[in-house]
Amino acid sequence: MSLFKRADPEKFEQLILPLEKKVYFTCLQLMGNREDAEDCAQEALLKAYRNFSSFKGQSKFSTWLYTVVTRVCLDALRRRKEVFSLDGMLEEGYEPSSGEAEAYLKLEESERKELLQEALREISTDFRLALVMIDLQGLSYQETAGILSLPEGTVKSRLYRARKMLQGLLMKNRELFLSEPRLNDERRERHGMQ
Amino acid sequence: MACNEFENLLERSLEGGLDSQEQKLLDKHLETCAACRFRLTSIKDLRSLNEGEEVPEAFSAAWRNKIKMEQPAPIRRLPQATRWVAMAATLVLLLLGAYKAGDLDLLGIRNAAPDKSAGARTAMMEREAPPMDMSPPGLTADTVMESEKMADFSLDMSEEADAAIVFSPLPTPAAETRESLPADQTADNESRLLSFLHDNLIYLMSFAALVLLILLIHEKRKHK
Repeated sequence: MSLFKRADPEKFEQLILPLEKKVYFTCLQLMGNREDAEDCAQEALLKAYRNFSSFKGQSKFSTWLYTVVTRVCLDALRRRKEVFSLDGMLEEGYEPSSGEAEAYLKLEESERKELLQEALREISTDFRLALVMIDLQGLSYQETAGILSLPEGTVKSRLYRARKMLQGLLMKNRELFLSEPRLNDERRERHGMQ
Repeated sequence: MACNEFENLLERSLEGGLDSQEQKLLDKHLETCAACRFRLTSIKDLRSLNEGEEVPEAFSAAWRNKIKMEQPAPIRRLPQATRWVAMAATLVLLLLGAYKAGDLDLLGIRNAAPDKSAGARTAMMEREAPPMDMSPPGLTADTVMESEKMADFSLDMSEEADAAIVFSPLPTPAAETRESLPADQTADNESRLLSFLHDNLIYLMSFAALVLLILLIHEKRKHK
């Protein structure tokens, strides 16, 4: 264990391997683009490697690693000055009518996911973190609370509000998506090509 | 049951916390409520947002390379025996420094009482100096006359000096010290300066030894 504490690169790689994908996609969803996501994920992994001796084993390694990843992303977002709070309308959420909801459900999965990506980018960091940690990465409330240094109740309430915001944004963006049939067709063609 | 009443069931169903009866109730509601289906679908879509996607190979290779490059060069450590000798030498230097520190007059207590020591030195020199009237044996008449002339001259000089003392303003203590110090005390000052430097050198060495000791201990702790 003492050798391991000195961060043997091969053993560190073995530890990271099952978490690499989650680290990268957490960064992608928090940063909103691939370039920044790669930079942040690399920086986070390097930081984790350098500071491995500070991991005392009191929590799961994945929880410790996500803490490092989250801090790196938040620092990068602060540099980009993208930590902002939501306006009132979005915080209240949006109640879709039956027709709007049906229209969303009729979209193809890839289209729905594209809308989701767009909506996620518009949610403020604090709430996006809750969505990314719990819904996207499947972490528990307890783990997320530990990573974000927040009470579990706050995490639950943020997640609830974040989902509402997301659904509101989906409806908003869906209107744009469906109101332009030409663009809609272009999108379908693009997906077909991909 | 209204939609908002199903919200709690919806949340719990996402966590997999519904019993079969609750699940049936929710499913029945979802069949007829598009808004709740939309809520559930959007969250399920979010959960599978990156399913099937792979991490870019460039990223995967880049972080691995960075970590390999990050690996520190092996630290060359001194042999165990050398380190013990260095520790012992350091301790000896420290002790020597502490011993010498007792001799050093850092606060200038000795220098602060120059009158006493100067007076004592003058008295000692007076005691050691030969009497003025003692003439070496075997003097010729010429040399006696020469010495008388010298005596007259010295008398004149002493008269002039007296006059100077009468008419000149009071000498400053520094000037007095300078004038009162005999010429051969320069050598004494030099030796005192050398001694002072020597003492400081010991201090410097002690300080260096202390730093070395701290570094050695630090290195030992780092590699534990």
